Amino acid sequence: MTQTSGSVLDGTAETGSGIILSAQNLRKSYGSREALKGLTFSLAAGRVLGFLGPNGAGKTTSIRILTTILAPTSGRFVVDGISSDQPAKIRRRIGVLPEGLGFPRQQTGSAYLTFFGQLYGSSAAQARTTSAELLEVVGLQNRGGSAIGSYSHGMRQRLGIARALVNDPAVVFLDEPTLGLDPRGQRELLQLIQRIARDHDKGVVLCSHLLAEIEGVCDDVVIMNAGQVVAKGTVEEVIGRSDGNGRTLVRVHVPAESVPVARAALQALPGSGHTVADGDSTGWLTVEFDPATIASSTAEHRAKNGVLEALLTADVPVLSFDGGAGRLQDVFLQLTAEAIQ
Amino acid sequence: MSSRSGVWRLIMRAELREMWAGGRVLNFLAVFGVLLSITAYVLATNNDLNLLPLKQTVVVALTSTITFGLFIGLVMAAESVSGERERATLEPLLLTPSSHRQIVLGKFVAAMSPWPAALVIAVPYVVVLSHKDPVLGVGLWWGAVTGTVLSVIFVGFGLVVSIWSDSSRVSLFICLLTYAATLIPAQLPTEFLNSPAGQVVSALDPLEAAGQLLTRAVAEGRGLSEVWPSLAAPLVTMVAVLVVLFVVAAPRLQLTVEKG
Amino acid sequence: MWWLVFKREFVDLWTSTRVVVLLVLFALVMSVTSAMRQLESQLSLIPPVEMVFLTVLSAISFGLFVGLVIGADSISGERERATLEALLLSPAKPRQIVLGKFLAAMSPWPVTLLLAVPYVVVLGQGSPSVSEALWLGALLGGLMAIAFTGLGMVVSIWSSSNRTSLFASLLVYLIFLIPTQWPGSIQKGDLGYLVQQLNPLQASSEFLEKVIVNNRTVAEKQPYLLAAVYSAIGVLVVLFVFAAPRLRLAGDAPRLRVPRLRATSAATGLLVAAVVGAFVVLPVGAARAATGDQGLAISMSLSHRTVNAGDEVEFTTVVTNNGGQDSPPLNVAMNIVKTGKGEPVDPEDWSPERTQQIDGLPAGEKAEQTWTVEAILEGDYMVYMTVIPKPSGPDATSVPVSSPGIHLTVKPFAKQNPGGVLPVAIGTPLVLGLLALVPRGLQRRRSRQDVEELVG
Repeated sequence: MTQTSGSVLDGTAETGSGIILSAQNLRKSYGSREALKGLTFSLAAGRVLGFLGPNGAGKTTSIRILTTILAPTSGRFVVDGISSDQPAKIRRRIGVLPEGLGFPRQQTGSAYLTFFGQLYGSSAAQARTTSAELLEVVGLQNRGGSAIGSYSHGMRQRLGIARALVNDPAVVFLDEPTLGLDPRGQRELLQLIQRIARDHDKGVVLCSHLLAEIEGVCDDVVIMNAGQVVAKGTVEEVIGRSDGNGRTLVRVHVPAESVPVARAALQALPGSGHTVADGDSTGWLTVEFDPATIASSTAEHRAKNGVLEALLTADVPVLSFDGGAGRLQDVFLQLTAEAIQ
Repeated sequence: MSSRSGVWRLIMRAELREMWAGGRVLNFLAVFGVLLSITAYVLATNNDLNLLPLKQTVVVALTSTITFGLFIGLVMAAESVSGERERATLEPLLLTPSSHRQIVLGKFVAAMSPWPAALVIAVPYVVVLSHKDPVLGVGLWWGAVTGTVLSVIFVGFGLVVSIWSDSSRVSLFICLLTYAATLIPAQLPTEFLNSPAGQVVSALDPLEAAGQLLTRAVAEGRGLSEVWPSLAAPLVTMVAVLVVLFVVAAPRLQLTVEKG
Repeated sequence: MWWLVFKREFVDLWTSTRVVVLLVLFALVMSVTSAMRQLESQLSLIPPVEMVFLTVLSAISFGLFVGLVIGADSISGERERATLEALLLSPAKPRQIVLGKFLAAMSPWPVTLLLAVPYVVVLGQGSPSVSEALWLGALLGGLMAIAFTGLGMVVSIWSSSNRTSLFASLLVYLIFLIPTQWPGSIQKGDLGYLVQQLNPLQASSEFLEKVIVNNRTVAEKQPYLLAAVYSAIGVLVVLFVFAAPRLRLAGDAPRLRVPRLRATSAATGLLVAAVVGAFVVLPVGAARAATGDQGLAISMSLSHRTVNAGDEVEFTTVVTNNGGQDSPPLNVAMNIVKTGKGEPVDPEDWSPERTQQIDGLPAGEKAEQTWTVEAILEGDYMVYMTVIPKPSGPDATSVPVSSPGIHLTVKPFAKQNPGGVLPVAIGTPLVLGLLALVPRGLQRRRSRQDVEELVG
């Protein structure tokens, strides 16, 4: 069953409504195997859309269709007002960082960007200027003259993003951009991606399976499994914070032997409208607040702080405190019914 | 703003930089020089021993130049697209608005570049071997014409195979197998090659046709009117390869090679 | 351990379609050729033994080529696919790993040979040379497959990428392949023969052709067979003694760091070695006549001559009919034998005209013939003529008459710089080799600068 929210349009909106990318019932078959079974979504400018799903879910197939590398078996999509039957025009308006992109090792970063700038129709001088600007945007201004072979993996990924921006696209597609990066590198890259969307008013489609990090970056999300969309909407909608009941959830992790004390402390929280339940694993407790008692974000913060305070007062060691982050993983697991290590 | 028709030049320049500045072609040409040196020395010795007439000496030197020179281009072309696929650098090219034909044209011209270099390297050898006989001018002219036609055929073929191969190993293997197959008719007896069936085989094999052309034009000193039948078959093959490459294969250039 | 590696590689190789597809292609080509042979009478201008030779040669060429490409991919391919590390971390020793892969890479060769057998039998049309061709083909093909598969693997072990490995292997293959395309006339002479023997591909082809097609003996052509044997042994030594123990996760071997310099030096060394030749001069005896029992006699105008390699020797023979009757038509044929080893020499290489016909010689009459011999190889030779009366019918024979011999001593070809080619022959590869080093040097300098930038 697909969870859908009214705030993610159903793919029928055209330009003029801020929608920069929309897809309607995209399908892709390889012989009798259906790799994509009807993808429908929309993306507005300045927002980041996360394409999430396990391996083989159809994410890369979707990206390749939307970037005109693959032709869909049926369905259509529109990029910045350009219909999918004009792939060459679409390619002028998109930027793509494919998964596992290779780079020419001997070329410098600056020459690489200049080359692609010229391929998109800029003059040599213009392309060089754009190259310098982009290197600065992605933080490689001091390494533009070095051979790409000397770049770290993170630097290469940033260079790849710079290349995806070389034609000032309306929509940027990033396929697993954080793969192989250390946690700091992942965070920096995701922050860069957010800046690109917000500061440059671009639509960004981000394909990934790193859910905890994606949740902090994406505005909208499409969860796929086995070629099908199993959930789509804003992150909050998909997680279920405003699923009609509007409950606020906090999860805490305490040592197993402290669970009874922690449960008692949380149950003694002032006010009604909250329930305490044991979590999936030993040591996890969940506190659920009734939305009637949380009228504003300030009240929500106070409630969460109260949970923490209660535990500290009870002298319970707090191993982990989850104020609602990371729940996308729960939704994802539930929907895709797969175990992730 | 650079026009779309200039895209092939950009691609060609990038390819040339990678091939030449990267050292790949120079490595081949260094080996080519050694091979040509051995060939020239043996030829000069046999010429002095009266085992080989002067004109035939020049023909063999030119044939060796062409055989090796076009091999370099074939190998460059064979690896040109399939290698990019393997190195994951093809996708960004395909994502640009450049027409696939432009991309293939740029790669084609770049892959042709080793041939003129090989010819230039061969010139001093041919000058020395010809003892400055008038056969030198005739030989170099026909060598250049024949070599260029054959290079176009083999480079074009290599690119077609590369476009439709999912790995460099497959494309290199097919190209080299085909190249080796074109060397087989030289092993067949002369009596068969002179028969109508043998002439069909010669016509189908560009290398064999080239050898016969050079023998007739350079060693035997025949004019264009007499040698054009030997040139006709390679020319037709050249046109056919170019049509297959730019009309059929290039527009179908894809990121992955779909099987079945 | 090697057995496990072999089994895995073998299954991998044969369950993936590539080798099977290639063998099917090979069988297709063989089938088409055989069909053409049967249907197209003009193709039958090629004698059966020659078709047998070409088929065996094609099988060998195909088998060694497949082995070379598989060998070239065997280690560098695993490196690129990131599966080599797991192997190296296992208890299997590097030599065992290489052995297993080597044997698996060799496996297409026997299958190719087996596939070729029915075609050889069909095309041989019952010729007695079929069995000899097959076992010689198996022997030589096996040696060539070992040499080239091993070569591919050596390159693969020392290459940082699959692409480099394939390029380098194909380059070496080409170096051996190109001289096989030289026309027959330039493959003669001491230098031509030396190059032939140094090139295992050429040597194998020459060996098979002379033994299968020209009925020479194995002993006579042993030097060519030895070239294949030495190549195989040499490659195996390099592979298992030097390369295999140095199998590493990364593909750089110390010895490969200056390949161009070594190749250039080796090539120069080869050129110099090829130039060195020793030719011995020996005196010759006197001419005299010889008479057969049909009254035919043949005399030579020369008894001995000492010349330099490349010189021409002209002489005349006189055939006299001393008998009482007119002779039948006569064939006068030239024979040349190297006195040292007693090997026959192919007069086709030495003389433009090896036989001359005389219509029936009336009794008491004489006929004179003029001959030219080009002394192409250094050595000590006996040149003699045989007068062969044509037999009267299929049930009759005749008695050939031999002439006295001309003792021909050929001194070595002494020119170090034939045709003034040496400066170009040495200078050009040196310049190209140096040029080829330039990009590598520039890349190293740029890498150093990049590292300095990073650190600084």
